[in-house]
Amino acid sequence: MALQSSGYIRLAGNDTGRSVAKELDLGTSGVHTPTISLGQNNVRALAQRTGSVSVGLGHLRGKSASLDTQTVTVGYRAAQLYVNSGYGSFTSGLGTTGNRDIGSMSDGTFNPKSNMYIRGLWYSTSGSGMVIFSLRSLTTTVANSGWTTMNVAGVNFTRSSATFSNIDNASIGATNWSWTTSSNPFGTTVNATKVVTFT
Amino acid sequence: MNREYVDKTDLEDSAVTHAALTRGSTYIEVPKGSSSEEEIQLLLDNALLQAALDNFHGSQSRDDVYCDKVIVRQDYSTGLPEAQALIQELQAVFPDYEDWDRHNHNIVGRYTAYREPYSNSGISFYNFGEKPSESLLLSFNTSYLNSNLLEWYGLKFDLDSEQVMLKVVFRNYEGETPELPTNPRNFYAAIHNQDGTESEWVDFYAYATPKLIREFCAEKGLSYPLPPTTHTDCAVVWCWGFVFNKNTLEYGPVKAYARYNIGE
Repeated sequence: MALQSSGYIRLAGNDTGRSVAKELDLGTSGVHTPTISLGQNNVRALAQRTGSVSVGLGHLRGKSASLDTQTVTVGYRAAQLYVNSGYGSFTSGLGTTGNRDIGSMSDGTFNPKSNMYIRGLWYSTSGSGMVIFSLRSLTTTVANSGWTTMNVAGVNFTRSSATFSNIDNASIGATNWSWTTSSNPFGTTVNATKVVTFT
Repeated sequence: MNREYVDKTDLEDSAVTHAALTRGSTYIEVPKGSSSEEEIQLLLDNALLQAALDNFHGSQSRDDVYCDKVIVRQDYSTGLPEAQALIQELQAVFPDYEDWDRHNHNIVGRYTAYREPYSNSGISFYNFGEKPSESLLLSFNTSYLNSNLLEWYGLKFDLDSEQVMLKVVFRNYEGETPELPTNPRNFYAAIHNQDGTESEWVDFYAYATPKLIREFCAEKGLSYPLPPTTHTDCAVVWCWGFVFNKNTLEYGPVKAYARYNIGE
């Protein structure tokens, strides 16, 4: 939930809607008293005061750590040549022009990038395994910014540790963030529901 | 030969530096972290490979096929003028054998007798997006489990003998193989003749970085297919082919498919 727009706000502590650390899920769960400062990057991002500008507790009022939430109903497609495969919700088929046809996702658009259509959120079983977050950007240049962490059913993936790609193409242009991992955060149960939050 | 990239500070975390690379319409950033230069090059190779596979049907392209550091074939997307010239040749000798212009992303290329079982020069035609029909398979006196077939196949048109070979592409091979570089997207191909016989030479294909293939070739005493700078000159080396004899398990030539996206 968002930090309260009135009343006290503090950096650390376990009080929901009052503690910045709890909003950002920093420190020990149920305690949330990490070393934390107003100037650190994730606090600045939450306050929407990145860069060298000043930041105060007042900037954090009403702010929510979650930039976007997607509810993914897990589907599966077996590995096939030149098509996406794996577990989650994504576009398969030849090329990437189609809408998502594996699993489902609500609401399926990404707020931090002007509600761009999400091609997929899935675990690719190709190669050594990879978590992929993909937007249908077509000819729009999408910067590697705008969010800090993607949480898939409790597992965090940081944007800055992802391999980022942007393909500029009028029919199949896409922007991807991907992480190589042998662990599948979507699980293998078809029709299971997984919540993905972006902060 | 290393790829040349630029260092780029993360837009929101000044402690993070990315290696940034642009190839045609593809832009890539990989986090450098504490990675060695070799590891960064591998990350870039992997990212380019993934982007190429994702973009497979997105652009017109030419593949230079290398064996033993020499181009043995050039394949063109059927939307390109070079491909149309080859299709006219095919249509002249094999009229309406296939729907040559079914879409712009099939592939056509002239081959030579650079490897067995090819004994003459000819033209290859690869039909993507369709499994070979049962009637096509039967016309070559063969049959496959449909679920094992990939959604494309090749036809090899021998311009001298006017014979056709069918290249069937499939996921799982049940016979014995020599040691091969594996990953879950490997696949195989078998070549069938119109007289119902099958070549004893089987193709194995892999998606892998140049480093992995170079090391594998060195370990097995095989000739690495690429000249030193090709993998950085082209858009991406998107596929590697190994040929082996299914009876003796002898290795044939190793092939590399160097992709050049056209019009970028």
